[in-house]
Amino acid sequence: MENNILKLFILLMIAMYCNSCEFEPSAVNYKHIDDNIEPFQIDFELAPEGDTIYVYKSADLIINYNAENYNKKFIEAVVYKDSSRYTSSQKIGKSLKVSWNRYQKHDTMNITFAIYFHSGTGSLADQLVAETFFIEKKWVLIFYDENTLFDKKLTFDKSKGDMRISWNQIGERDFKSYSLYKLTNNGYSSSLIGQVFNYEPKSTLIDSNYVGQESFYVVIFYDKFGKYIKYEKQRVEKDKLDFSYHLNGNELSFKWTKSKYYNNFERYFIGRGHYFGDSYRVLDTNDLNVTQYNIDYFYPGSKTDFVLTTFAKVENPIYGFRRDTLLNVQNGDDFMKFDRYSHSTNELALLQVEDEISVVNLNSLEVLNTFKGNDDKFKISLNNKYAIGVKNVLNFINLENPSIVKSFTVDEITNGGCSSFDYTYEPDVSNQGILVTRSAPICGSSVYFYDLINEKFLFEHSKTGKYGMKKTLFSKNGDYIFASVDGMWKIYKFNESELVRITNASIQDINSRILLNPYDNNQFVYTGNTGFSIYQINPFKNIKSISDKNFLVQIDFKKGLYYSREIIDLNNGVVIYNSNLQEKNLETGEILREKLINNYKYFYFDDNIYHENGLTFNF
Amino acid sequence: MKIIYLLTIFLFTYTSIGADFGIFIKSDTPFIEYSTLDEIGTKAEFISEFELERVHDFPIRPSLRLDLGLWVQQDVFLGLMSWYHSTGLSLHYGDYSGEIRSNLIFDNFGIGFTITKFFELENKIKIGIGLDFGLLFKQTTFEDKITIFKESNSIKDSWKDAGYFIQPNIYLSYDYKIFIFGVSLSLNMDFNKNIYDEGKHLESITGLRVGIFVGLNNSN
Repeated sequence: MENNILKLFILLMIAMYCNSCEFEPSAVNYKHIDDNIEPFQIDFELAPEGDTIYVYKSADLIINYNAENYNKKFIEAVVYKDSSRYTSSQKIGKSLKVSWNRYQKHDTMNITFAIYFHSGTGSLADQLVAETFFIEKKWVLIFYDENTLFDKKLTFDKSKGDMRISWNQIGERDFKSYSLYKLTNNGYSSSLIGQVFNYEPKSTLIDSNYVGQESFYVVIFYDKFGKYIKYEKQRVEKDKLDFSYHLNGNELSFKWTKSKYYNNFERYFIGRGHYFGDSYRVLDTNDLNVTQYNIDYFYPGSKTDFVLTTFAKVENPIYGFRRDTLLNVQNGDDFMKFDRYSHSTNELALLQVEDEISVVNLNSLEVLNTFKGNDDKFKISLNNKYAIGVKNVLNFINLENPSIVKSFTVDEITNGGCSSFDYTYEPDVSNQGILVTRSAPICGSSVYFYDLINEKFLFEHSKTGKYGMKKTLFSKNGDYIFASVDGMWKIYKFNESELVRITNASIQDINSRILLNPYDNNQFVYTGNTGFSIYQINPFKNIKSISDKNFLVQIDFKKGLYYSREIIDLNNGVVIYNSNLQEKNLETGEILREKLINNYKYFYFDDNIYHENGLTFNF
Repeated sequence: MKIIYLLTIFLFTYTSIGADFGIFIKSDTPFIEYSTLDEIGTKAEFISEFELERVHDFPIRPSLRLDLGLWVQQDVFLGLMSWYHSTGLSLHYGDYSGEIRSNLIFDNFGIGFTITKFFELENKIKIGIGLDFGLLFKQTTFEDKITIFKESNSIKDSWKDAGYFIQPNIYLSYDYKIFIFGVSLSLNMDFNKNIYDEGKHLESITGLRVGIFVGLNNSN
């Protein structure tokens, strides 16, 4: 037992010796811990604003520095190229020359310039290891030459009614001047907007004649080595005219917002009717502050297009435009405005506003129904029971209970491939079914008739080749189907779920069109490239033919106040004008007066002169 | 806890063990010269230039003592004793760029014999006169550390030596059942001052020591 006590005693001694009673100093004596290190102020003679220096070709870069005014002991100035030490100097005020291999192409290079000083603070580091302070400046060098457009983005500000062009100038070094030009008429003419001869970090020049037409703005920068060009194109930005209407009795009031291009404002104009229709002026004022106009003789119930336009002071004058088709719903209400208007009979129209389509009776101007949809194009069957709309898919619409009841993809309806729904070969609808054509050089051309009642395809005809089947349409009561087969128009009749060709007679289909008389189911007009003819379908008969390919032909079908008009160029069968439902009473098949001027065809209509492509016109 | 447990077992088994906790007061400070730092590689001029200050100068620190022995003739304690104490000197300077610190640490461990005679004054209060003597093991450690910003470097060395000590003691105690509680006053005399071969006077731990103690005496 005594041995155990002795062992314990020894253990306790060892523990006493090894425990944490050993002295561990922890007190401190800090001095100058709060010393403020004064900021360094060094003058760089080459210290352009920003972090970029433009270097012409392979010219040397000279960095002038002056560290004499600093009260610390200067050590050296060093230039680093990228991250490698490149050159240095131990002189307190001097230049450092930075050059590079002239045969090596550089696009950009990172340069760091640093000046080192003894800290002189007397700190521990200063005494033991010569503590050093330094300041540095970094640049990105961009090398350019005559073939390089100087990389400065032009910014355009049109918010103040003129065009303000701004850009950040390149470095002051070697700067001589900037010139700003505007090119118009596709660069055939130019005008000097302004010049800058004094270096400033940012330049702004104003084109006070900006009227929104497409222009090229060109900035030419000159330095002592040459000139460098930057140009950008600005497109038309039309005035957004917020155009609203209200009808009270027979008084129609217009309101709109003031033109924002007031610096170039010339006049407002409100025209009534279509460009190629019976347009006439209801307002023409050069007062910028006029923002409303009243018409006291507007008769409710008529459908009218109104056009609000603002004009500028210089050429290409139109720069604000708004057109609306008005459909008066009820006297005293605001007008219905719509984004898209489509109809296929004189009784019903489908009016689309955003993603909502309204079915409107054109006689009573009553909205019959509305449903969701945003199709680009509609056709309504003559019996007003069905419609189709096309936008990527073909939607079949039941108008008696308005809704899209069935949708077809192009593959579903044409059995796959080689087809698309487009406006050239647009589908047609009748109370019997839907006609869809497809035409493609590889797949051939086919006509599909989809029986809406039995929900199956009844009719298909296909032929490859130049004169493949590419056009089909129903007669207006749906009894007849016109199909272009093998380059000839043929007429079919729907008979107890079968389609039967009703006559052996065929009409050549080369650059031709079949125009159906919407008011006479038994009549259509054929226009070819040698003239036009009016046919009776059953029994098949040529009623009238006029052969003269050098003239435009105007086809009018009329019924009461409404009429449908198409103007066709007989040279190529192209319809250059189509209008519906206007209050005119014209003869069918009128040949228009036309005149060739400098190989451009102009024609006269309603005492106005129209260009053949419809892009320009005179009021 | 394990040591305390074992200690408790033997305290109640045997009569002759005691523990002492006290403070040690050195008698001859300051006694270190700058030349000492020269010998461990730190330049004396740095010490003055950087305003190195003695942030610790042999502070009064606790010491531990442990006794093991027998009670003879009921009022005489005869046995073994051990003793440990650590103190030292520290110089420091610091600023925003770094710091420098020089430490001189003395660790002393003594082991020897103890004899004490107690005289009862009145009602279990006793006064004791004793003498300790034995071997004294000393270790001197030098450490310099310099830190500049995030970089640091240090050197460290130590020397060991052994000698003897004599320590007369006076106790004032109180008996409570088998326990003894008391205070002590000791004079530690270190007779070995030659820690270097060169014979330089470097350290003496001669000084006064004041403590409290608890013991066990089942001879009562």
